[in-house]
Amino acid sequence: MTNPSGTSVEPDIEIKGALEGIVGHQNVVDAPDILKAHGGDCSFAAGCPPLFLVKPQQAEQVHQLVRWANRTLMPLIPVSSGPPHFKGDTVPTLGGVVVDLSGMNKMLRIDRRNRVAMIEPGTTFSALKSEVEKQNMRLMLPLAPRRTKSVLGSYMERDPILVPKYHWDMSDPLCCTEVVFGTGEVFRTGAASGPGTLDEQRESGQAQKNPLGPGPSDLFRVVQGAQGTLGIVTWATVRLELLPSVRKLFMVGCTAVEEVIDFIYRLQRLKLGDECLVLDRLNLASLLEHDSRCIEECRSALPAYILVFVIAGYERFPEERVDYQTKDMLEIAQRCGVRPVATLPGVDSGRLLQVLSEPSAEPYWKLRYRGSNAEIFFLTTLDRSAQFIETMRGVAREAGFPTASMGTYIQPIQQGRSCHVEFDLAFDANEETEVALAKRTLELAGKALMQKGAFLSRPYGGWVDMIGSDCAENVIALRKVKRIFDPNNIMNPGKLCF
Amino acid sequence: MALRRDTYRLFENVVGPENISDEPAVLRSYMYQPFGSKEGVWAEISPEAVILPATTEEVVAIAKICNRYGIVFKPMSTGWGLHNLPGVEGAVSLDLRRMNRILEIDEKNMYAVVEPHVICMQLQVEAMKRGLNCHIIGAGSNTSVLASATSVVGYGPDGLSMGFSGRNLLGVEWVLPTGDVLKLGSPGAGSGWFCGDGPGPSLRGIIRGWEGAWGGLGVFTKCAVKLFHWNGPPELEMKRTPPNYVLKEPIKNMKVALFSFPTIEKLAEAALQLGEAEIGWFVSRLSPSFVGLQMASGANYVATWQTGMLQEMLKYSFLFVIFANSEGEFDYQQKVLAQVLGDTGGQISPVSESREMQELTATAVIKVDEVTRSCFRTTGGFNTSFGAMDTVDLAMSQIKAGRVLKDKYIRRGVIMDDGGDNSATLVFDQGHMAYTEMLLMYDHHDHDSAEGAYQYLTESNQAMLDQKLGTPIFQVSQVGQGKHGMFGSACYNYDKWLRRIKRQFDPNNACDPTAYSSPEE
Repeated sequence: MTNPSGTSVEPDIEIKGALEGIVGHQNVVDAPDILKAHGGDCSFAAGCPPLFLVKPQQAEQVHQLVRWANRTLMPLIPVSSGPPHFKGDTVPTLGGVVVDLSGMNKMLRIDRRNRVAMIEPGTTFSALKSEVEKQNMRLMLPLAPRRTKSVLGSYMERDPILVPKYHWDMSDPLCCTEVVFGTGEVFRTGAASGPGTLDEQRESGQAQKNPLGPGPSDLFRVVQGAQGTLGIVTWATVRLELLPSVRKLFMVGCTAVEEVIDFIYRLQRLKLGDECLVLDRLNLASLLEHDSRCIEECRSALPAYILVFVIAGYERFPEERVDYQTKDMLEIAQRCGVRPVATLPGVDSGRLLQVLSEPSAEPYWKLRYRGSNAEIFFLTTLDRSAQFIETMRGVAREAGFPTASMGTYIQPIQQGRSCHVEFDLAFDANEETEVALAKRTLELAGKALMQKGAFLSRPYGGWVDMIGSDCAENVIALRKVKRIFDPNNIMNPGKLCF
Repeated sequence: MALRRDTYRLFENVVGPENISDEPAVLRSYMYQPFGSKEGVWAEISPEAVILPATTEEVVAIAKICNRYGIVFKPMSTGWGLHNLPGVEGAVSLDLRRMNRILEIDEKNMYAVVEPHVICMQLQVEAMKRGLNCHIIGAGSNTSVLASATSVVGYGPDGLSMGFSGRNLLGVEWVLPTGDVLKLGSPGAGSGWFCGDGPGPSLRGIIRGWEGAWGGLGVFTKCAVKLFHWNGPPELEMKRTPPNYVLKEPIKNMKVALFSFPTIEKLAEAALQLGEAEIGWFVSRLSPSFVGLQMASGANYVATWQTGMLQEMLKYSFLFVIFANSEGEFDYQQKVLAQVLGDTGGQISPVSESREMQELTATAVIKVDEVTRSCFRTTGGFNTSFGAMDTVDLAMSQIKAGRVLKDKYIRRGVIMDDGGDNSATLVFDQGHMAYTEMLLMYDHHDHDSAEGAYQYLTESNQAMLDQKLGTPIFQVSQVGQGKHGMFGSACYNYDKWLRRIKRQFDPNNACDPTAYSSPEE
């Protein structure tokens, strides 16, 4: 047998034959340049090229691959989004076979009555968005995802969405899933589990909306956030919302985020408005402009931080909805001492609305300023977000990373009960010094932020070690979970604490 | 098998002699369980002792003793139902009533951290002082907040705006069956209680799903739950005496009304439309019988029912509440409501317009204190069926199936004639999900009636299997070990995964598996 670490010089003919038998000759890739490209990504994750890359076209092939991997103990690294990747979670640690799910991109069902779509893992935000909008609905987006980003890839990783009022639970907007666990067993989560086939369930009025169960476990939650270490999702249903027919964008500029926090709390508490997020001037300029010169120009006109929020009306009396919400919002703003405005110097409001409503144009917005980006993100509560900004700036100064190249993004989630805080370090990957600085800053930041109480709920790369030392009981419990769902450790070994 | 004295003394050393008992009279009092017993009100199996820990450390010590000496333990909080008692001989009960503190209310971030015996009413009163409110399950405001969030189900009529208990769960402190302590989510990292998921895979998915482990997978000693904005007064002024107390004054920007529809399909359409228009604070489809039970005492209910008035006026109706944060929002919601009613043929029911009914229903929707007494007072025995959650259309399918099935048993005279359709249908997350629960009343002291109710419940489970209507709400207390076996094989063998979880997290099977899952194949 070939060493699964992929260190053998000649690809193993036997393995290739087995893979071809499962996914077909044309869907097994062993071109060295492609394999090499999968041996790393835009993060600082260490890894090695896979032995092969396979492109299954249907769930049954995924099922067969996992069973085959259990027989051969070959690592499988699932990937659903196209490049570039930023988190290191799709870089093989121990070689193995990359399972590229981008070809499984069918939109199996879009259901207007029940506001739900059923999709395969290769479905991108770009593709689904246009189909959903034909039926007057909208898809919940993270902030300007790259065009190749898989909807399921994003939702499985609990990426924050832009509209906090639709984020009832940390797992939203994910509903039901079909998953092949690392054991090779197929499972359906939530209402989709049965009784009955999907068609029979639809016959009784179901639409695979309820993500919970079956019974006393939510296995979809266990697979969510697992970075492909427990199984491979072969389809899922996702919540949709009504497409707004009227939208009004507002902004509040400030010199420090503390100035807008009470206002955000109040908006979220009353579920007023739709999209709601805070960006610093670098990240807002990077979203609006396409090259570093224009970004510099744009941000020079912007305040340090900008709260952006949208008020929308849907199908019934949309203008009246926008009117009453605007009036209520302005009263709150007055009480909170902030002045929401429809325009800011340097910001084209129409363009910003568009940016919030679709995947990023090329180049991907995080790469526009310096060509590369390293990010660290965590969860906290809104009232603590400012202190983390201070901590991060202190870390950047200590490491010698230019704070002018650091972007900030705060996304209220769970209807305002907490928030995602993200720092984006823009650097030039061709400049060794910049790379080293960014890497050093991330390392220091992880420790410093955790010490201050940042919750790294989605740990990647080196952050995992930091989590492990602080959450030993969690690590023990997660390893029990791993033994249940992937006892042979064939699913993306080396990631998280596995 | 009596508990050995030396073992008893170990437990006693942990909680003190005043907080443990094996006195027969005390144990007998725990066996009184009017809900869930097949017949009568007494459990068949008695705990060997009842232990009342006051802290997480005491729970840990008890769990470790149990693991060491091969004793099964079963935790309970408010203890409402047979499933709270041990299902095996020789077990000890952990009565968590001394763990009854609200540890924190985070007003800004809208959550509360509670111990197991904090009841919904207790939390609601404290939350309202801070302009917040909590989700209250249909079983009523006297139930444990923590139990419905971590361990049981969690349907409540305010689900339209305040969600489902299982989805309102944030950070959790979990004493594993082995006695080890694990904090799920952000509290595990010392970051606060705002999140229960991560780092990495969410262990919330291990501790509960659509339902919880019913005390079969350790003890949840603290948890954080979401709170929601409350635009009413910080204290509710009441008039009359409990249990008939009602709000002294109407609440501003709140409108409570019953609406009737020409068909069940139109009712479903209206519920969907209102949900996706993102209006409303509370919606509950109420059957004529259910409304009657809430309006009247037992004797009056029968008299009213026999007039046929309720059946005529409320065949397909729901209670809908607007509770706005401003006059502008109130006017907007009224306008949308009127349009939806126009589109679906809905009309306000005259029943709901009397001052008395307004007071009664407004109080009931806020405090959720009417349901339980309504259910038990006519016949003494009460149970429930169907209850799967997915869409509004599934809810309607369950009503139709339940009505047909119940009619059969009503004609046999073994359950109360409530018109067959005695269902509560609730909508969650602004119309994204819905469920229906079909209630039944019977005489639990009458053998034929109790047996008939049991047959109905078994048959209703079978109907859900046959008609592909999802999984039923109360399998545990109805058909015991048959629960996961009956539906597991129809639902991707989920019972197999439960056994694996049980084996990993409870290697000594120390925590009573009866209401959850045995580790054995």
